[in-house]
Amino acid sequence: MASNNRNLGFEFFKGFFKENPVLVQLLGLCSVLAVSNTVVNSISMGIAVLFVLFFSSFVIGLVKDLIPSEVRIPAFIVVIATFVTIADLFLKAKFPDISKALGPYIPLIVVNCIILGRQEAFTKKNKLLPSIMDALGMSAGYLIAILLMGIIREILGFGSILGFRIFGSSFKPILVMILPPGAFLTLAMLIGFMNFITRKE
Amino acid sequence: MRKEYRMIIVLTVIIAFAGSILAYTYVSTQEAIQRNLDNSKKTALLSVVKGTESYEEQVIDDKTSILTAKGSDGSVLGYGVMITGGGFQGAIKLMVGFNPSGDTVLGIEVLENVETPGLGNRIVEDGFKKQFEGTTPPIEVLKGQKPEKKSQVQAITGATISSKSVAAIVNNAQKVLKENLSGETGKDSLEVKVEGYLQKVMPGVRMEKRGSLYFLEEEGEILGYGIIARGLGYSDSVAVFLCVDTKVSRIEDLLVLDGSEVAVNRTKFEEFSQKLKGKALPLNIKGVEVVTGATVTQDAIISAVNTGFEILKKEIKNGIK
Repeated sequence: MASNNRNLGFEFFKGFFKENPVLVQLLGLCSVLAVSNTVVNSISMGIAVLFVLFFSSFVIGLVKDLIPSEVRIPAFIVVIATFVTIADLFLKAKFPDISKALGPYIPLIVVNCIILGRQEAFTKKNKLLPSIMDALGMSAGYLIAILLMGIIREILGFGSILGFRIFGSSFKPILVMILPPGAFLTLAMLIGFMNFITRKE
Repeated sequence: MRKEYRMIIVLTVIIAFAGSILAYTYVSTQEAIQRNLDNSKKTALLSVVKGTESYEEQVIDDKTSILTAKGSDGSVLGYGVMITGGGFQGAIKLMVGFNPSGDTVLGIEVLENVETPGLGNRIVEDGFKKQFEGTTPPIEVLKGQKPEKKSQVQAITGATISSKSVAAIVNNAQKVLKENLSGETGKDSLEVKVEGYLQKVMPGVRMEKRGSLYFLEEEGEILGYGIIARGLGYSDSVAVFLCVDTKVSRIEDLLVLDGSEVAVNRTKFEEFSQKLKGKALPLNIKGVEVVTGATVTQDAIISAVNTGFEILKKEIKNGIK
């Protein structure tokens, strides 16, 4: 039992750092680069991914033994697309402004390689509980990475955090940080930092 | 069970489940989504036409619709034109408020844009939007100098293209509104003007439009040809309607149609166009100052005439008889 618990803990926390989907596995970068210009967008995107990944892993973990392996990919995609559409409609109904800011990137979670990747690499081969832990850990890792990007880019590019100005009027925002090049620069520095730490270990 | 059947059954069941869950979600969110859309429309209309209580929407095409804003007593307070046009990076969607006659802009609201954050995106700032209040299109965008006339706004530093795009969309909004107010749908305002003019000066002459050319006929005999042509002026283009004889050798008649510069000095330009009647084509009097203080606009008219002449000559040569 003890070893089981340790395993669950490991499956949960590995996504945070050691196997961070964005900064180590370099998956799902498209949305990370595109919508991390503000903290609000980053959090919304992170939560949407968490919602989709959690429920997809849960449902697929429940029914995976019934699905013939020849049709597993279409079956997985249908499940994922269902939750993505639910998330999209929910945001449109309750948070129209956020939905507008995230644009096509919510529907595009369907093809985000983190989601399908976890189903193929983990849920398919493991029991339900570890799969859920894995899903939560991986989406938390995604959330942490995109949030870091959002914080850095919003502070430097707008001089604010969550829309509140944190510098005096003398601060001149570094415009490039909220433009696409700023996304690449920030991501590169974060990945470089990750590599630096892991090498020392 | 055979594997093929199992595959089909499993996929069908999953898709049926997914379909029903989605149908349920769709139905339960649709109302809120529609309400959000209506709200954003209504909020935008309210901010450009103050005091609006209700509105009627008339959809022109997939990019344009006209909202008639009514007050509490049912009177028309003005119009909101919801219109999409091109910006620097992508489409800009505006709500443009007009007074009931459609001449003056009451205000603008930016509904959607994907302009560069920090530069072009500043078109959403009040400082820029407020400039449009009380302007009379066609609006001209000035760079780095204060507007003097009612038809001028100042561009945002570093975002000239976005600023100009907004002005162009506003101008276009007025065009659409005017066309629909006068009830002359399907014809642009220039054509309407030309037809009105011809009926006045040449009653009995039948005009037929083929492509961009006008054929002027009386009792089955072709009297001449006409064309609408443009020339580039000082801050705006100038449109003229040029009538020529059957040999396309001289000007039979000339009507200066529009352009913000023409509006200021209309009588002078009318006199000028009368003087050009009967002159041989192409015109070669560039640089001769006839209308004092408006040499550039005058040259624009001449270049419009010559452009029209070139097109006519080519078209007639191509064998339109």
